[in-house]
Amino acid sequence: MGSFNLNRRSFLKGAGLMGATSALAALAGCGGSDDGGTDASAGGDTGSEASSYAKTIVIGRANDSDNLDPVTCIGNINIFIFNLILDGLLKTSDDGETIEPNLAEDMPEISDDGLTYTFKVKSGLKFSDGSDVTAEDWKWTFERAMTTEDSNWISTVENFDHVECPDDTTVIVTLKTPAASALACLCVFTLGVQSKAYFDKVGADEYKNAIIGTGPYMVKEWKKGEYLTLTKNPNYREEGLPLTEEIEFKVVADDNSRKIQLQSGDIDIATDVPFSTMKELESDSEVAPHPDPSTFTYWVSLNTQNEYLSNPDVREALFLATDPQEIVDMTTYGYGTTIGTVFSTTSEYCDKDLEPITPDVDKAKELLAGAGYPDGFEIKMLLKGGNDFYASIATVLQSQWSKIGVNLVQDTQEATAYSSARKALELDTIISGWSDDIQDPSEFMQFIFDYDVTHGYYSGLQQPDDMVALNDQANAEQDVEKRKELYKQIQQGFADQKIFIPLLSVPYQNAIRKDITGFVQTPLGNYRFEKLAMPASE
Amino acid sequence: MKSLRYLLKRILQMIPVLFVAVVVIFLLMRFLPGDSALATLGDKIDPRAYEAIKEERGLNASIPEQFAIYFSNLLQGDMGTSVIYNEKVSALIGTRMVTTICLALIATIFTVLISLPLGYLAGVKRDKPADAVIRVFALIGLSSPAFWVGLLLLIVFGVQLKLLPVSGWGRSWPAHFRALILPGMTLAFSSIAVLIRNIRNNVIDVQEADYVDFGRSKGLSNWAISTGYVLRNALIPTVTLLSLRIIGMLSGSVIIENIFGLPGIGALLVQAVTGRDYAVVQGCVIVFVIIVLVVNVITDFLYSVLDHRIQLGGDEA
Repeated sequence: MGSFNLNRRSFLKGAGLMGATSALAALAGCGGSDDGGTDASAGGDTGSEASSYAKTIVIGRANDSDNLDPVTCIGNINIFIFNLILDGLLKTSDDGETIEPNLAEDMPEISDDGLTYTFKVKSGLKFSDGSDVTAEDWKWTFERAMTTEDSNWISTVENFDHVECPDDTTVIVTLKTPAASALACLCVFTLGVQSKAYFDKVGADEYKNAIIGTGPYMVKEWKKGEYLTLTKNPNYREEGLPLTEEIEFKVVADDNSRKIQLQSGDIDIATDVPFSTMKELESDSEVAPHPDPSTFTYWVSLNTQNEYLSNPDVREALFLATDPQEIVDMTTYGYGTTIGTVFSTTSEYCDKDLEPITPDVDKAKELLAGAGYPDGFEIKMLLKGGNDFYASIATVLQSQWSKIGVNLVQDTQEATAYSSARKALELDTIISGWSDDIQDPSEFMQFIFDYDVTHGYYSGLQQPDDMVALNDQANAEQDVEKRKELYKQIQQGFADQKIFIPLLSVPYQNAIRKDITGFVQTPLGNYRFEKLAMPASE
Repeated sequence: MKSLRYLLKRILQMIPVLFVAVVVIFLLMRFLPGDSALATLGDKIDPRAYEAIKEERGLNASIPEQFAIYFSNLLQGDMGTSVIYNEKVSALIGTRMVTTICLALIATIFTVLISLPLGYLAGVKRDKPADAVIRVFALIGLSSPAFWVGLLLLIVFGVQLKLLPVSGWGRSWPAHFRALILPGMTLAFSSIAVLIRNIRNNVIDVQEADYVDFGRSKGLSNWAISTGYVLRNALIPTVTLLSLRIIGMLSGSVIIENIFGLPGIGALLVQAVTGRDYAVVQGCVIVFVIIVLVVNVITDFLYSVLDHRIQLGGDEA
């Protein structure tokens, strides 16, 4: 036995001791510190001012942010919180319908040729670290957004030629060509003013972990994969705001756990709530669904390079076999709305005259027979694994299309494999979705018209010259009414091409405690929490 | 001395196993469709950004080239940087590992504390009512999937009784501990069932052994026979099983950590695979392989403690 000194007795003793300690520890754990509970009660302890609001509001999200640098970040999970930390010259209104001055004193003065936008900026602005906002910061912020190569958002600022800042309170933006979308583009999150001195100090990599802006909140602590805590910006320009001292974004990956945490008070707001859960929470006494209007639209893209789908009659038959209302009822529990065009329903350029599809199975059958497929055929639909919403839409479509003999096969792939197949247009049909990043259709149109970006949004169709001409005109047109007319023609063009089967628009899937006030998520998805508050618990 | 040499040999044996694991997982990740740039970009992909990110992450290099770079860095102790977390993989795994080890430890403690007395009782009271009740309990444990047991425990203890946190990890050690009780119990559930049945059978076998009769004839007390003879000998096969279960708990942690929102290595691995965060997946696999190998060595060591006839490295002499 040699070198091991442990004998039988000491081993058993050790095991016993281990059991005893663990039992003790378990007791200590249960007995309890209040550490794991909610922070709501802490509001009373802050002492200095007897605030009647809870100190912290906790928001449960399915995923964590992964990059707080607005220029290099990707994905809504990052984008949605930028309005809390950063302010730009302009912003969209809370309801998303108008554009209003933010750090600019007023709307810009626009030169007669439509190329130069001159802003007067509010004076005395400070970053959350107490330093002054200077001309250099403005110029740097714009130029970084316009020139960073691996930025996914460069298309939104592509039309900006250069920026001059003669003094700390003047910003002059010069466009390459006159464009009606310029004001909307100036609201984009990458243009929220940031501190150049701070960026130079920490470097590009560390910048992804914390940024400094002039918004109501600043980053306090980020434990990646667990929580991101924002705290009140002490130098915020509006006295008395924000009302809540800390906002904590907590990661609760599992849908069920997130619901349970909301009901048990561990979190105060839940995002990414499945529609079925929203329906279920309608009867809850403490929490309620909060479906804020969004720019999200969903449709089926038909790949015109597919042997069956290259025939317009076949595509029309699929249109007529689709019943969007049934999809809304069955997949969103009534929270969605049917649509007649792929444009965001909150956009002023959305053509509301285009009606959602009225299904007509008999006519669809006739069209298929006329095209030479009286017995139908089999096609695939590329689906993203783990996306229950897409899967449920596909299942309803499967049954609808089976009525005309079309056998829809669900081709479900893991998320990145799905992206890869989609990028290579290895698909027959796909459920597509869009949400705007700016309150203007120009970004979306670029994704459809620039064939290299999405193969014409997975339709495999290079837009014909007349459509391209219409889009160029719409980009340049300054008059809103004339522009509406142009976008109307473009939307009618898509409808005639029968490449996108419009299905539905959906709201943001939030659920919040009933005593919370001031929860705002704009249609673009930005959180606005200056007035977010919850009564402190006694 | 012998045992020390044996230990050394076992450690050296880990090296080729680790190397093969690294190569296999490296290739597997590369053969998955899509790459980390695509995973990062998600739904809206600007082709210019896609190319820029690929270039920046060195994804345009050939696979042997990428492996050479990765492996030479690995030899220098650099596991790379996570593209999701923008953090060193070693640091990332280090913090996450604490959670997973605590979870496995608590689950093991629960398993031992519950299965040992119940299994023993069932064995001793064979075919009596107590045995029947325990066996039914074990059967339920065996046939209930972990995600379902987890949700059930959450609803009862978290939502209705509000005794324990529903999910999350907390910010201090007492909070961590409270946070681990439900997931630990969930993770232990099926192991408890397996172990109860195993211990019961072993106890029944051992009770019929000659040396137990001999002990009785010597006039030893029941207690001395139970602890010194029956339990001790019944435990040897159980230790092997327990070590296998501990390894199983690591894979179980992948599901449990997601249900309970624990920032452990299982949750990290899932996220890294979907995000094509190559360096993190490779790092996690290396750590898992090391754990499995280490647990095996510890198991061998425990044998020799429980049964003096088993000597480490004995066959070598």
